[in-house]
Amino acid sequence: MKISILKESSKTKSALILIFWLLVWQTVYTIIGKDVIVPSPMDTFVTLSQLLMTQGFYKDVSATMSRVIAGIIISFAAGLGTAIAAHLLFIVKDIMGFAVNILKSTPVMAVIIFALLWLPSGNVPIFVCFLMCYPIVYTNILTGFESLSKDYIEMSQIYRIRKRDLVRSIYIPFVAPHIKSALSLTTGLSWKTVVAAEVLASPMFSMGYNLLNAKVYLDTESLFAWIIAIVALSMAFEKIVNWILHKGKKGAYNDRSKAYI
Amino acid sequence: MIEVKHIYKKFKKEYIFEDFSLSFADRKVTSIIGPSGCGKTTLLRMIAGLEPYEKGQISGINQRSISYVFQEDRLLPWLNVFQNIELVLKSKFPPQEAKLKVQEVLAQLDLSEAAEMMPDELSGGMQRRVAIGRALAYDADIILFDEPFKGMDSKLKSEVLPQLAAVWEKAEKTIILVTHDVTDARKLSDEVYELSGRPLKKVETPVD
Amino acid sequence: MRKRVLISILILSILMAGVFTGCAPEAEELLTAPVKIGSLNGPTGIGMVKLLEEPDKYQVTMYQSPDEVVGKIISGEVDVASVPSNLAAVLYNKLEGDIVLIGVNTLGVLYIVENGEAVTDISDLKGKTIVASGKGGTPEFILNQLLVNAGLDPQKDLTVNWLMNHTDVASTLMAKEGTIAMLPQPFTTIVTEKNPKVRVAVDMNAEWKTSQKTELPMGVLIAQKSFVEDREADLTIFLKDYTASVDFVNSDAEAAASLVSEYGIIPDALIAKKAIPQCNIVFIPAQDGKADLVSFYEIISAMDPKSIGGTMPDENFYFKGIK
Repeated sequence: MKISILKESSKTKSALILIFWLLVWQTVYTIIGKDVIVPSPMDTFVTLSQLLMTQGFYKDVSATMSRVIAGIIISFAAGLGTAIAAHLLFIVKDIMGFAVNILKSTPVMAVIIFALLWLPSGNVPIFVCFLMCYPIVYTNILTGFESLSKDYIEMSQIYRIRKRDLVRSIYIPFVAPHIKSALSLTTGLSWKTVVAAEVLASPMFSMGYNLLNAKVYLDTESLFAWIIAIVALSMAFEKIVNWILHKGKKGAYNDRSKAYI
Repeated sequence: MIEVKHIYKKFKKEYIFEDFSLSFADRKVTSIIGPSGCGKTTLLRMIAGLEPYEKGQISGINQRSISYVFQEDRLLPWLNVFQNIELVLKSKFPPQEAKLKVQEVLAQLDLSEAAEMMPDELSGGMQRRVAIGRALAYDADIILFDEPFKGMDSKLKSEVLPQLAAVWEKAEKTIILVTHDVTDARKLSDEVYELSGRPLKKVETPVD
Repeated sequence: MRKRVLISILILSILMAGVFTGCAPEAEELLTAPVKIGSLNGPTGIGMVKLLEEPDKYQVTMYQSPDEVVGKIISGEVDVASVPSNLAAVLYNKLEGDIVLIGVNTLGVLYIVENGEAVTDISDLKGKTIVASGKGGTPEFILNQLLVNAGLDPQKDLTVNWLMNHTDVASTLMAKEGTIAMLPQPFTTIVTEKNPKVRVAVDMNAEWKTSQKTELPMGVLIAQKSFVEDREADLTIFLKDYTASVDFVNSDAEAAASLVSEYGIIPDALIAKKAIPQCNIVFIPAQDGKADLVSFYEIISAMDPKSIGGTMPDENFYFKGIK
């Protein structure tokens, strides 16, 4: 392969890399030989395209996606609220700090099993997503508040800047990047936790439920097809979120600075 | 008159100010010079109310507004030049008047062309001028300057110094200037004090 | 003198020959290698309890849910396994014929159990939520069929909360009042004995027989095809010991109960004694059970072909017996 081809547009490169991995998959399939462990790429894609033509697929996808969005919204609402409270009141910071540390180290599975005991199966994934994402949101935003340099605070004290200008022109623009990074971090995580919880809680309309079914009926083509769908959607979701966050020229605050004054 | 009376100030376990006193005449420019790290900035901060002290009193600053030009500029990186200055005027002036004042001060310091630029697009010297402009626009009674000409080459200094001097004379403000450059101090000030020795007890040499 | 010595030696030889022949271990009792068995912790496990007493011959592992056993079959970690009858067909299809159905080992043992008084008939399940476990196995399809017979839509008219195993279902049932569950034996007896508020609401096995007019072969014994073909002698020994165990369990509930509790399958021996007779433990060789299995497969695959893995297994699925 000529070096010149490798240096070509990244789209060609991506396509070639994809083909490479498909070949790996095909090879693994041929070597293992057991359909029930690794299905053939061809069968999987056929199954996937059949799925895409069923109405049920879209119902399940939208159910899962709404849980992801709900989980993220709740995490951010709670994360922002408690971070502000923690910044203003030390006792809140201590109390929440303890809880957040525990949550951060708790394995997802444990949370799911616990939630299954007392929540209806449709809400378990949202709850689990919230518990897993909230610590990240809280920590990031709080760090944002705390890292706001004393320098700017002193400057605002000298010039007797009004509280509302302080918030609008200093706090918000400074903390905004932290909120954005929290969002970046949690998009992927929220998908994973929601789907994992759906597999165990098996609510009727969900992508996870289909993973479970595929497993118990040993329908590995469907299993792989659903996994591909989940991964693709998760990546697309993350890309869209990142695009929204980084609209505008990189580096310069430029036009957006008007929002802060 | 701003009077610093018998100030005791500790830094870590040592006293850097021990029974230190000094007065600053109103509507005059007073400079404080001395080697780096001797406490000039700390003194300025104590006057501004940003730094606590163990014993003593600073009088003559109550009820009066203070502008401060920090050693590190402290411009908000996400606002442009115009907005940085405008921000501090919002609590004092109505919006239209605030905008006029900003334009005025930018003109005074030859910064009008840079009004829409962001701080990280400016040279060190220009950022300094913006910080100075902000302090001037605020129009406080007392203006404190911490190393105002840091980052300026002699050419720029020779432009800015006279601009500043003119503004000050017209405005009749009380100005306290901290710098390590004796020449600048002499050029601009009515009185120059040198700080040296540790702990600082008294001003050593009133130099003029 | 020489004559006497000769005769003594002769008699001694004959005696010794006799002794040695008597002492020689019967060749058929020796396995070439231990048999690895995967079982579920219900009736199928109980039926094997005698095998647990010979750990050098039989390495038996009890699993809590069918998909664990299924995994072990696929990976080849077990030679013989107890699985729900429909999953045997699924495995046969997915593994392209690499397993053989040896026989039926559990008949109908499924019940709707309630911590309350609301349900007396299948139709009472309308609009309710029930807990169950063993998704993908026979309970799911038996339930769906009975619901359809009662005029209900399994997708729309009720909600099933699928838990991870029967023990979890039992705990939820006993703890929360108003819970309705689908449980097989011995769990049914265990929960009703432990919590007097819990009662059997519907006997699904009777319902099935009435409406479908066939038996309900819920559990079967399967083996790896390689095991059947290459280790026929071992299979024979195993079948002999296995049927003996089944007979033992069915004839002497008390003795069986103490073994069952000793090995932790049902910890409480008194409850075990009550549960064992309800467990419908049998051993019906494949050829004898074939007719009922085929009808059962036809019924459930008509509702959902995935229940048996897409196609009806052919005759090679059913063990033909020792040659």
